[in-house]
Amino acid sequence: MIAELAAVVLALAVGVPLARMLDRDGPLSRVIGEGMLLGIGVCAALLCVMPWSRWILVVLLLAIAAVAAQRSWALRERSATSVPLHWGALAFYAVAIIAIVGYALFATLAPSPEFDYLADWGFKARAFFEIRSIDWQLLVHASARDTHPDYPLLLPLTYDFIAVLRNGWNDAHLGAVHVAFAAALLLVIHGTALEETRSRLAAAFITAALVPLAATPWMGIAEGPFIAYATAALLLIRRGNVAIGAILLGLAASTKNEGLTLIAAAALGLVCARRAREVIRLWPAVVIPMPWLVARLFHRLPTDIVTGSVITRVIAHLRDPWPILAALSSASLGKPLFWSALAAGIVIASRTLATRERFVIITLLTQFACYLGAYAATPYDVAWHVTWSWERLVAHLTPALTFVMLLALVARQLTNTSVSLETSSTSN
Amino acid sequence: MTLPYRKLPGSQQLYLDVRARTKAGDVIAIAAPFAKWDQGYWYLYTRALYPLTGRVVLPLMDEHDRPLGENIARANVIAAYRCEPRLPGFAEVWRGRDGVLLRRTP
Repeated sequence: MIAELAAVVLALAVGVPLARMLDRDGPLSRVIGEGMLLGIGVCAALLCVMPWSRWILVVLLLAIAAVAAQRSWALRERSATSVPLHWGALAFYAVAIIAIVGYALFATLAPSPEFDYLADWGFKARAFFEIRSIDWQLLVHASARDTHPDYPLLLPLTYDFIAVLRNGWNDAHLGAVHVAFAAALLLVIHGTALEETRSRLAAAFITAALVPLAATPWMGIAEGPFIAYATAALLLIRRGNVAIGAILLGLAASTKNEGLTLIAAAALGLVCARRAREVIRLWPAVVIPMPWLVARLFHRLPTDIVTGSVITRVIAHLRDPWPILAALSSASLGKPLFWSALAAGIVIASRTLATRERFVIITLLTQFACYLGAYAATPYDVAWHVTWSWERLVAHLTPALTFVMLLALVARQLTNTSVSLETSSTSN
Repeated sequence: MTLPYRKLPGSQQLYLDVRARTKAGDVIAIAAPFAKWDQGYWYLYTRALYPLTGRVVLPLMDEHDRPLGENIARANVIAAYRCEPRLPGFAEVWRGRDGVLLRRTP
């Protein structure tokens, strides 16, 4: 596992100074999380332009890290005001850490057994490593539709970065990548919650509560990385950290095609949240996936969802939506207690969510509508498509929704507590 | 990594043996005793991709169960799972518990 750990260290070394430059007054935990996400993106991107040589990449990354560290040190501003530690917070921190350690054991127990790893993400990564380059011939002439040659390459290239560091292919511990993504997202969640609530207890509770949503069970496929990039991006754009949020949004679009619709959804969310002027600041989200989109177009890599007559299929499904509805109603999402609690929380905090969280809510609703649209446009049997994707698609949206719901409940609780304290001090 | 191969016992070991006996650039067609794409062939074929990276892996049937004879012409190696295809121009070079490997004769 040395290569996996070295990749994480290099990603942090190059990513944290970049994150510090882009999120100058962010809490330390958030900056580390952002740094991990940015660093992994940089490591993967380098493989698109540099020779796949261990020492060239390591030296280059260390040089970037040194320059970025120097710049970020020069730009340093006040660090976030320290928030006193609460004993109750320690318990929630312990829960989160134990859960992540357990997740790390699960993730690195064995190579990924996921079919999509064997036919798509892992297959591409291993095939690219064989020739130490992106294998355009393989993508152009992919003989199995399950290979999805149009899917973006951030995750396969991340696996390749580890293989280059190792100088050999070994999939035994590639799950460590998914642990890094989950931990990075949880650090962003913790920092954001801490910044907003000014309460370590609340931040620790929200972080612990979101561990099961950040630590996805699907090893070797792009769901976990996409959830990390997309959720972190939305939370940061929501806070007004649009520059780094837009970069993470672009990395989300470089991880899964769903990230492309998320860019449009985020733009609509900003407009609906009366932040239309900030839409232009999302430009990095468009620029980052652009080279891949151009290459995809140049090589004519097919996208299954838009093959044939899309309009005809959509109209047919809209005229007779029953097959989609039946498939959705029969597809299990599991976790009934979680969904009940989420629904109850949304009802309780509905006013706050409707007023203060319009950006996140509109963005998630738009993205959800895009997912339903994909089902309407699918060239496959809709029941099959829903069965094999619904749970994962819903998992894309759940962490951000749960975060804003919990934050609204915590804010409500903190307000009630301060009001009761003020009342009691007045009566005394 | 036996879990994704469990419905076709021996297929994973067959692919590992085929990988050990072929080289990068070989064009391998996957032969199997399945008449339909969705009744075994798709399962076997898609699971060959990962262990046989570096080689070109070709199916001998399409999604509509039509045979792809032209892929035999393209292949220089046939990996056959639990069947023994007799193909002119190919000779058996290895035999395992769950399959055989044929190579195009010069």
